[in-house]
Amino acid sequence: MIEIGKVTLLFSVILSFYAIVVSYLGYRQRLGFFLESSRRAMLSSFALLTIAISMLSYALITKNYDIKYVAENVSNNLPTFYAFSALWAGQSGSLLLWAWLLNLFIVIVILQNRDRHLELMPYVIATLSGILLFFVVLLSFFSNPFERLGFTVLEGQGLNPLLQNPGMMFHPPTLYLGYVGFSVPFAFAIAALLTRKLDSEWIVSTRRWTIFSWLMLTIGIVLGAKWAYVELGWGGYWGWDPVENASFMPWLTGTAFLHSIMIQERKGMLKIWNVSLIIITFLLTILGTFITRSGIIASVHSFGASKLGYVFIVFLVTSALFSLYLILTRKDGLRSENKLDSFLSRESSFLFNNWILVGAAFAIFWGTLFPVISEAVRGVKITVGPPFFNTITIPIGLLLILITGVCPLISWRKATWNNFVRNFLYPGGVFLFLLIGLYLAGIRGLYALMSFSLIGFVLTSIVMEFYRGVKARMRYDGNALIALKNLIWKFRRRYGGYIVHVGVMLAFVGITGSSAFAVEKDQILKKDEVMTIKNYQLKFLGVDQFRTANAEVISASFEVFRNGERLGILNPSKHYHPLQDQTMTEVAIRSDWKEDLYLILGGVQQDGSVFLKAHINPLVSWIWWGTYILIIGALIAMWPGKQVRAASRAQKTAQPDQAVLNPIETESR
Amino acid sequence: MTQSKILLILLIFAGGLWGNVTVGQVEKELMCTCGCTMALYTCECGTSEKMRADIQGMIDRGMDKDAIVTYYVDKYGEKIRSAPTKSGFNLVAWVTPFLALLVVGIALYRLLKRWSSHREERPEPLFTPEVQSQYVKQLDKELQEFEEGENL
Repeated sequence: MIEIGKVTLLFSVILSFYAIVVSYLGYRQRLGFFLESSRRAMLSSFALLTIAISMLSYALITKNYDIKYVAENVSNNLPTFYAFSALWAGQSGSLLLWAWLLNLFIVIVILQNRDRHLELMPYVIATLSGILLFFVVLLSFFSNPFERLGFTVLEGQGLNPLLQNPGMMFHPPTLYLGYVGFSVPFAFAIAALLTRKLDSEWIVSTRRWTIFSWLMLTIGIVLGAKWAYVELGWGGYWGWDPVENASFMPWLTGTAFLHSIMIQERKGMLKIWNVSLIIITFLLTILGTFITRSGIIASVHSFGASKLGYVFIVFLVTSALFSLYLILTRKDGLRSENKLDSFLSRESSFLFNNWILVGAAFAIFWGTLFPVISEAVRGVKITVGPPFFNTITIPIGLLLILITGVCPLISWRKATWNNFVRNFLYPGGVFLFLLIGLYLAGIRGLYALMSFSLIGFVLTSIVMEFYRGVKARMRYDGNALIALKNLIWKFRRRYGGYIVHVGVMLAFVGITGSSAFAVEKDQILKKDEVMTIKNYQLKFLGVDQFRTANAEVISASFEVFRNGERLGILNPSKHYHPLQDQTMTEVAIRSDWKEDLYLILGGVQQDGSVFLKAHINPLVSWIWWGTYILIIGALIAMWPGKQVRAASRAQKTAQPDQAVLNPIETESR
Repeated sequence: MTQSKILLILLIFAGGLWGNVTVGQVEKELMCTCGCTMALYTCECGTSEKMRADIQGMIDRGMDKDAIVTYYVDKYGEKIRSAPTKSGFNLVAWVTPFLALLVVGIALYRLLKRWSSHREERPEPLFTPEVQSQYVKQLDKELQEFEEGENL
């Protein structure tokens, strides 16, 4: 099995290299045979990588300790569920997953575009094969998951207890789906640059890939936040760790890209900017992987320092320089086809939205890398942690909320001030009402006041958009609900986008509430003593001790009352994992729409008393519900419509003409 | 007499301020020293528990937040702080993001103004204003319909 695994990776290296060469030759020599051959090479590589990943998964589930990776990441008593998830718990396993997903996406792109975008496809395949080549070279020569252990062991080192959480089953794969997904629009952008086909074709053809990647990245980030909230046991969900930042940066630039491509589609403007944004987004996904695997920046997520960092930096720099060269040599073709009709227009507001999103990405990038800069300049190691990022990002976040509300109030092309003021009236009124009302209700924190009021402003502007649309449609549809359904369904991209905005705003409500109004208290409690925090009473009932398959558990029981009404029992606990000699804190959470009661067992003393930490985290569940709404909105926005299917059919029926234009396909037939 | 009363009140007030320092306030300023790379307030390991107990001890002995942080910086170096100080070279860390945002914002504003003020030479209109306005209305209507049909 070990040898087969190694051979499949080696063959994948050969096939990826071959695909680059033949797709390049196919384009240059206009020989369809080469293009077809590159497609088949990628299909074969996918089959090989599927064998490799299946074999590693099987080895993990069956605890085959002959393989070093298996011995390092699972143990005899680890449940199958977690044994499988160990595939992405370690360095080489997660790289294999990355490569397999990338190859899967290449196959999908090939199948999607057998009869479409024939001019771009050779270079799309070449670019994607180039990225795949990098990963399979890493797997074959630097971090091979099939490396033999070299001696016999009866027990593995086991999975890091922090990773033994159902959220970890989904968090890394969704994050990887997002990271890897951005390779596709990147490859199309590079292909557009190489072929000098710099119209909007590459953007239109990858719009759904971009939304899909953005959505997966979003889900991955939120799952990570949820995991941190439940598993790390400090009462929060975002710690501004370098690796968290590394996932957030491409999310920000990807969000900017999703908005700015609309201007290129409509007006043929911002071509350089869009190409640059998707290149930056792709490079940031690689940077995130580099940070995790290089050990250059200390992070709770890192796999430890390794020589992989150097290989990543070479790949990063090469990709950046090559992309820059392409942009500089094609800048004439990237000139805007039009000018703005007016300063006061939706186009301008989108550019300001881009300014803030990319500004936020830069601020986080700067903070993440500043320790390295400081060490280089002063020779002093420093830390840039949560206080820095909170200070920097909160004002930027407020600006972002503001611009999210302003965008729908301004028309495309040209808005008049009268029109703008009229649209502004209700959202502005709600903003002022909330600002004064919340102040009178006792909220004094400037950021919280501004945040809630601006969220009200944004939600009102979105509701107004729906109201206007429904009102207009009711002339045809009659019933308001049918009109709403038709409005969303017929203009999925626009109204799906608005639903995404609603989700983001609800998440902002949760972030603001839990950041500004969290309450915490700790106390040592003897049996039957009661701790009071806000309007909660926590009665300590006693301690239980028991063993699970992996751990020795001490669990404390608390009867929870709110305003005297009994809510139930909560059991925060400590889990000692002997194999890793690690003690984990398992929190107990009681959540409703208003707030979370979050209990942490600090410790148990000899006399049976416990040290309890309690947090009241207001509105946290709004973050998760906001994400569900965001997912629905994104799915609506990316759902293919009749027009897309018709366009796809039209392209296929237009194939004979295209074949004349493009000898590649003629040859391949 | 009055002076000593004022001094006494100041001392009591200062003592009250010291007394108000909590572990929570101090731990937000520090990193955990166990090597986990997490801020102290986000870490739940044994080392972090011991650090919190030590901080509580220092508070009980009357040390204020700055004194406790300085104690740790002397012991572990500047990297124990959870954020850079706002002085010297570290100031660059705090200022740069806002400065960059400001400079790019101004540049963007000027760029948009330039783009939107651009007017090309236009030939004399072929139609009378009345006829032209009909076409303009029709064009606006079609553009509106085009903007709404954006699902592609």
